[in-house]
Amino acid sequence: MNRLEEYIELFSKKLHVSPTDRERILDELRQHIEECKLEFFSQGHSEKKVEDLVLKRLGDAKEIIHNFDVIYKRGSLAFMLDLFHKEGIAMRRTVLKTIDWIATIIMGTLGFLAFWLPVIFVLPSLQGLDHEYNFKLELNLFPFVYKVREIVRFIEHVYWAPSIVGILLVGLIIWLFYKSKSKLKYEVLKTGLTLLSASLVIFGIFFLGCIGLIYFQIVMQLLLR
Amino acid sequence: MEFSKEILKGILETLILYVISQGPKHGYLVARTIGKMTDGKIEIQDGTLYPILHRLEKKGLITGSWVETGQTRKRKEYTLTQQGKEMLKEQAGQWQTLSEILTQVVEEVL
Repeated sequence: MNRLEEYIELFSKKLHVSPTDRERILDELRQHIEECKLEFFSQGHSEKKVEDLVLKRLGDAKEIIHNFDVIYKRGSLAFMLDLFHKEGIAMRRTVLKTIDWIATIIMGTLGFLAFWLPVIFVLPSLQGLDHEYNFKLELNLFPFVYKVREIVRFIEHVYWAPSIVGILLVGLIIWLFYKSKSKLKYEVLKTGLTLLSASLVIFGIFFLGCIGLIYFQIVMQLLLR
Repeated sequence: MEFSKEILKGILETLILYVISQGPKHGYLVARTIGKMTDGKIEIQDGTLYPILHRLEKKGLITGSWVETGQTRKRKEYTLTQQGKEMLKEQAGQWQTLSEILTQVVEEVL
């Protein structure tokens, strides 16, 4: 994407007008850029020089976008109604993006905390179970449950590991955030937070499964003793 | 010469209305005509022109219509409305009075 396309893209992203108006403005802008390019090419300038000249002639995109926004500005009630209007896509997009970010940050934080849950609550309590008895019971009657319990028992011995993974993951996100180019910074942050959110879901499923198994075992122990 | 934005803001609307009153024009041509008309003394950035054109259109002083210029190309041409003609006349009158006052001020200052 060359700088002129980026210039148009900025208008496409930042203009808070109806989709119809946006398309009209963009068409007009594209047309103008084409006319300018033809003029500068006919003067014998190179492609790069033409880009420079056209951009200089057009002026600051943000200021122009702001001026358009002021012209097409609507009242706050209209703004709210616009969210539900078929042409309110730009407004909806901004609001949904904000909600998306808030949700991602909350889920990401919870995801990070989920790495600590086994240390604080669940895993130490698993250690009190009658492993010997369960071993015989599960081995004979419930081979699948036994396999899962085997994994749980392994985690009982290395229950600090998820916390280490959590710290490493957050460290990796921070490192990638600082290393990435400014354009990619927020994408990296978003991806990192989404990863943490996903870990929350994985932990949720895992713990629900563990708790389900524990209750299942308790019931079986009571019934078969 | 580079004019301050505040000064240009008031003048541009009148200049654009005047240029369009000479015949239908698209944005690019309006910008070039203003440049030529003022011997390059007023060099406006083309981008700033479009919000003004849209504002004038919203006010009903000009109307824009898409005109085919080739097989795939089309451009938006602006035409002065009756309301626009009246506004131009009114603004021209105001500028005449202002310029008389300003000429007097300038003569005294310089």
